[in-house]
Amino acid sequence: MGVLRVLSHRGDDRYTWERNAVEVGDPEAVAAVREAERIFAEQREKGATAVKVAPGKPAERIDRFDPEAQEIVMIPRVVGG
Amino acid sequence: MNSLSDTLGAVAVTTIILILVGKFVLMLWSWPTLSARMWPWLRMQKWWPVPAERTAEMLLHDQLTPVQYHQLCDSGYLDLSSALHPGRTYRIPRGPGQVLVLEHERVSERLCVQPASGGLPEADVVLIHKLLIEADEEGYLHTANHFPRSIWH
Repeated sequence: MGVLRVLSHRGDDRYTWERNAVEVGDPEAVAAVREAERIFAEQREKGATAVKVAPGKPAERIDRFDPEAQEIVMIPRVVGG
Repeated sequence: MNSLSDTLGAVAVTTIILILVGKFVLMLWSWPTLSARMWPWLRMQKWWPVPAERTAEMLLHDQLTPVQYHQLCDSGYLDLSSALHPGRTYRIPRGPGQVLVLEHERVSERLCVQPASGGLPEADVVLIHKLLIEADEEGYLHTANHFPRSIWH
């Protein structure tokens, strides 16, 4: 299962896709991953930073959507205070 | 007449006791050591009335190691070692406050970085600092406003 989380004032919005089903071309899974990719691009345009997270590993910044990722967190734009 | 006076007296005493108990609870609530533990615990309960705070607290709990989460609950801050600068630690507060930069356990400066849009749950803000420092420390430092020790000490 892949997860895209978008942090917001609502906590976080989750978009999931079945990674295995995407590999075998399941239409529903492919549509889900396309939607996640669209949201990823939309958030990046708004200035969000995307990081790939996995248990026991430091977060890794990514600039392109990775359908193989276990979890991607979209961090809203930050500024110096 | 006596009965009315007794009733009014009882009401007055009850009100005073309630006010004192309320003040005591508020005092405990604002005690940093207790509030740092109580609020996260409360936010993770199913009945917590603010779903965004509950979701954010659960996510923070999942993203931190058990040791990191306990440190945050015990002390009210999260220490994160720098990947770029040996001996440097970033101290991320839960709640308002700036991120402290410690060089070999000595505070060298404060950093101010915040989400451009407000209203994010407190737990999400802690997570944002943690993820950005881990994933893009240079970018984080570039974005931050720096307050060197000499300015505020």
